[in-house]
Amino acid sequence: MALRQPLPQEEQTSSLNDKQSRQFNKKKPVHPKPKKKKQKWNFKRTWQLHVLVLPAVIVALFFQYAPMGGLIMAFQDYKPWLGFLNSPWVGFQHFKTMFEYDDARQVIWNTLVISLLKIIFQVAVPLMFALLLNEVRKMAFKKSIQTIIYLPHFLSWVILGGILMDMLSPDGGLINQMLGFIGIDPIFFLGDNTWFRPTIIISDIWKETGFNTIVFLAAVTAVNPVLYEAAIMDGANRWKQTLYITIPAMLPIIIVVATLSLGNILNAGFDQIFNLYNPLVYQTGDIIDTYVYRVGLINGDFSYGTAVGLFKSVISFILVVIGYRLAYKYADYRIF
Amino acid sequence: MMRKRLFTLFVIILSISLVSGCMQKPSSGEEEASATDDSGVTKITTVRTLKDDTKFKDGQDVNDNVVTDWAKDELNIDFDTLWTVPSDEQYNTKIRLAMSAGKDLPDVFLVSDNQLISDLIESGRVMQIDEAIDQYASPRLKEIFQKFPKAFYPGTVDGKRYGLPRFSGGNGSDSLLWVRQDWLDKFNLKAPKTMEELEHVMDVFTNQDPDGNGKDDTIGLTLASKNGLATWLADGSFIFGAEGDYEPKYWSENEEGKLVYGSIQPNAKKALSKLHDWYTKGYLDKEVGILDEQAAIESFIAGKSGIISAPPWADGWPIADAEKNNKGADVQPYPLPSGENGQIGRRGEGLTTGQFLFSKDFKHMDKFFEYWDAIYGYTLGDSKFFEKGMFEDYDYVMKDGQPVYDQKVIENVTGEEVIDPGKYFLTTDVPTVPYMLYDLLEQFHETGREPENPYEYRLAGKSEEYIEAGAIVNQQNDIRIENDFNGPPTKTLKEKGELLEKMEQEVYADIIYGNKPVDAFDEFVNNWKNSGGGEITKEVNEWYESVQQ
Repeated sequence: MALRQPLPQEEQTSSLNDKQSRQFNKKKPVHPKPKKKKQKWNFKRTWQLHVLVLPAVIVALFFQYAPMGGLIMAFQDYKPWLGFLNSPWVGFQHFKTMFEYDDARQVIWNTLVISLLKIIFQVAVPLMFALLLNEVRKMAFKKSIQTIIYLPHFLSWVILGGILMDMLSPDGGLINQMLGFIGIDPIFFLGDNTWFRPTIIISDIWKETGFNTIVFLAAVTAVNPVLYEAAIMDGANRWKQTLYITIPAMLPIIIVVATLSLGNILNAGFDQIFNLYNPLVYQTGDIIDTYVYRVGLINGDFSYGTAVGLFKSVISFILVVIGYRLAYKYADYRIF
Repeated sequence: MMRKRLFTLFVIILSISLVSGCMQKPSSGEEEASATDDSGVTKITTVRTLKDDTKFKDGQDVNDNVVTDWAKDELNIDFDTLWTVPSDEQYNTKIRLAMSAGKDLPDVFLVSDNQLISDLIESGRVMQIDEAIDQYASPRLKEIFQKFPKAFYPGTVDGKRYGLPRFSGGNGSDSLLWVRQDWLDKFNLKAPKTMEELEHVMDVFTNQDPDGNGKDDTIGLTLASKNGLATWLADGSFIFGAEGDYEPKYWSENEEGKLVYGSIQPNAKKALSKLHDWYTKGYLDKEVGILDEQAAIESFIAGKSGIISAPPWADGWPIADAEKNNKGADVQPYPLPSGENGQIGRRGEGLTTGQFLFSKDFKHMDKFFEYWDAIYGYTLGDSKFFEKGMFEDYDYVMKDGQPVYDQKVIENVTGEEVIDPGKYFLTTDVPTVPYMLYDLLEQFHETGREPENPYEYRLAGKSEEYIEAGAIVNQQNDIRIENDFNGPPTKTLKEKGELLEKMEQEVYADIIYGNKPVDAFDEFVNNWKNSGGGEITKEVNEWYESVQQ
């Protein structure tokens, strides 16, 4: 979908240009005036569009921007009955506390590792899937595969957490039973620091691959078939076609997807970790979000929780900016 | 085209219904209330949680049911529940929001979160109630209040009382041992009285195939440890209690009367080394470290485990499920086993589940205490309102001029499921007095005493195992280890509590699993003290002294 958009837009603007220039041509047949004029904001003609977008703007203001006022808490010793206006200010105290924690480094490190691995695999695996699915010639088969791998996306981690606990149980869980058949001792996937991260990554891939494949699949089908025909004429086999046509054609979208996920690098997936982790794997599994949850909600320390959350957001923001810069530089992708 | 139009229509309808839904008024009881005000009826506003288990008869709701009718007719009190939410978390959030938005608080409301209680008191918007208790509480209520002074601690600041305790059963969720009797009988074993005997029984249950399916798939004891080993179900507190007087995560008095933290006491180390031993020998679930209470009982329900430590009410769930799922399964209650030097101990439930707070603007404490005394009259078996029971066709029916309390009879007569009207009370359950319930059960069980009032009749009708279990718990009341710190989190506890808790949980799990030697415990104790634990201990004791005044 993301790929298709530019096309109709281009058509529209160009046809508009034609019309305008034709109008100009009528009045002043000599030289069409240079572009400047068409940039003018013609409110009369577009007011319907603005009305259409209004609700979205209001919603965004209310639900995305208004709550940001709460960030003030991070610099206060917030007391609910005093409110934002009267709570005492403490400056960067909470941020300092955060870095004084013995666990801060561990938690940040865990978050980075887990989400980086997730980003890499969530680009690589769906891409592979899309390429392979693209080779499938039987439409019915292709569609059904697509649907099947897409389904887990709709299950919540609460439910999946329960299912995984059962399946991965060292005490007769399905996976361990299968491992037992080939003579491997039961592995305590969810209670072992070496196994916890792989388990998290793999279960995340299993859940989300289908969903992420869609974008890539759209990109694959958008590649101009003429290129393939030409390649075939030159004697390229399927593999060479993939290597020299499909992948280069998809490079922009790959970069875009990877870039966009950079903003999420500090979101290692609260739902998933929260439903699967436990004291045995704090060392490798505790992430910023679960940590904030425990501090902010369980211990009721709103100010501190907000401070950690704000820290996270700032880092994410910086990463997004860098990501966009890179995307613009190397893939010529920009949103503004 | 047709499709497009349909879609537009759909969008329009959707937005209309959304908008009108938003504009609907949340409460419609206001007009009625103002109309009745003239006739001398006192209006008391409140808010509450309304959980799934609170059921109403046809057409009735939280503002219109037998209890509100009774209060209006007999006491001239008109209860107006401004809003209800289905869970405690949402409830706390709504109260917090009301407080920070500067909205009026309801006249009376229940708060169970100690932090929120202290926040509300500090905000200066709840009423100090010492005077009201003196003035309006009936003698029998005052007697209960005086008997359990600790129940007031969470709602006490600077020696002034703000909260009225919602009493718990006292020992209501204290646990005892439930053992698979059919497995014991199969191997001619007796119920374990000491930890040594327990280990022997567990060994047999684990290794000698008690369920006779030819597979090595049974364990000795079901434990939940994800949320700490001293807990409300699949409780491991007796293992700690058999080694000394402290329970993990509990602050209890030492010999000098100071509060100390149970998780760092020497008996915890002994208990952990025992647990590690049991884990290695296969007596426990392999996943014990990651099981919460609900997940832990799976092994027991599935008939894979022979022993579980749980409160008397576990007779209804999960024990009943275990007996239903496994043919021939028979689970019987037994007292907790004693340790090497004959010591027994278990975690004691707190005296309260929440405190009732009153808005500063509330003018009718007299009416409130009148109501309070009236509903307690039912529990105490001395009431002019509830002579035969709470409400006819709810908890009793009349047959040949006599009240009948048998559930089946009631269902036959009314033609519908028995509904507990106790849930409609402000206490959200039949009001309780600590230790009274199991004391009655013990009397029924040991002395064969006959029930004398509706409350007792209702209890006497419960299952035999439940009554026996209640009696056992009550007989072991002297071994309870209570958490004496029930105030708001202290300053350092707020700052460092999370770090310390994480440290504790990690080291406990690692020792049980053998990832770290048992001696790692000593290092943990040192770390705990140096990373803020010492400071917290000081603060907790300061709090303890301040509320005892």
